[in-house]
Amino acid sequence: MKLTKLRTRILFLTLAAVALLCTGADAQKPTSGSATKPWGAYNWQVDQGTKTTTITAEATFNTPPGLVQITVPIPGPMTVHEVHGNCSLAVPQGGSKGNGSILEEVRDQSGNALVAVKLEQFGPSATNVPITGTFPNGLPVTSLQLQFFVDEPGTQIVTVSLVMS
Amino acid sequence: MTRPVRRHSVTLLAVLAFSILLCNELYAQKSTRSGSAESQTVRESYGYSIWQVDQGNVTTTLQSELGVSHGSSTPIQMPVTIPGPSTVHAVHGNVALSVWPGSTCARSTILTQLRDQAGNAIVSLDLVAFSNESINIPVSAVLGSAIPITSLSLQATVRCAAVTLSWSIVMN
Repeated sequence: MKLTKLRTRILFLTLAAVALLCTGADAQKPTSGSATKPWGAYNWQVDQGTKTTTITAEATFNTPPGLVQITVPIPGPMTVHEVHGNCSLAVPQGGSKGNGSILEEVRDQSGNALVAVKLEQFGPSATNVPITGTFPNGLPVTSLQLQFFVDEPGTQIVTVSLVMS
Repeated sequence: MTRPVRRHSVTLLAVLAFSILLCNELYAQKSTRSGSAESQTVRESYGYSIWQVDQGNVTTTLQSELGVSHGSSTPIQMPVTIPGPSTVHAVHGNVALSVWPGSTCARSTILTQLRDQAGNAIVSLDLVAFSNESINIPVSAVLGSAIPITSLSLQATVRCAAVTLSWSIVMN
């Protein structure tokens, strides 16, 4: 009898611990990263609340690197049904050529694109594109990837700010 | 004493293993298909075209660029193959148009559409831009009824040159 009671308690505690581990994904633990590269620099941050996950990132390209892929770990897994935010491209004054052309994507761990934009900009100025998208069947996400393709010479600054829920 | 303790440990292990499996099942994504299809840069009588389609287990992403150096009233057709069939419930992304300095028209009007294999338009835009100007138009839509797609087609009527027309669209 004693053994059975003890076993029941241990089983209950084990299940409670596992349940806590599973729901621990909801806690707010921001992740961030930055680096300086031969072609420029980038930084990113991911904040997670109980309902939404927000990614903000900026990359500066002084020389065209071609394809750039940056892995972005997120605080916890999530299922994305909707995204909104914006992407921007700025070409600063005094750039060597003065035009901007950048392909930017935010992808999940298995190559699904949450956002894909191709931004074009003549001359020293900035362009902002609002983003709104829905995923009716939900997209399970465990990590993100920022992807850029840049082949236009001259300095270009690209940003992304997205709320995912 | 040793037997009940061993049996107890085995039960605990089984419960833990089952729980971990349950957690993984809850959070792991299920991969059903993925792949890419792309064209090389194709030189055409009007200029050039290039496209790429990337498919994950949920989304299909189309990227394309059309460079037109000789305008025409005849619509340009760009057939696009996709790695596998998919069903489109929603689309979002953007279309960018750049009208280069010295264009043959001061104001360029471009009709461009993304259609499926049966001629259903998924996105349709009528873009206007002046010479030496670039515009970026967001696209976002939820389709009233889902569209099963097996291939795509990009169409554009470009009367003035030179222009660059880029598509970047996520479909799911």
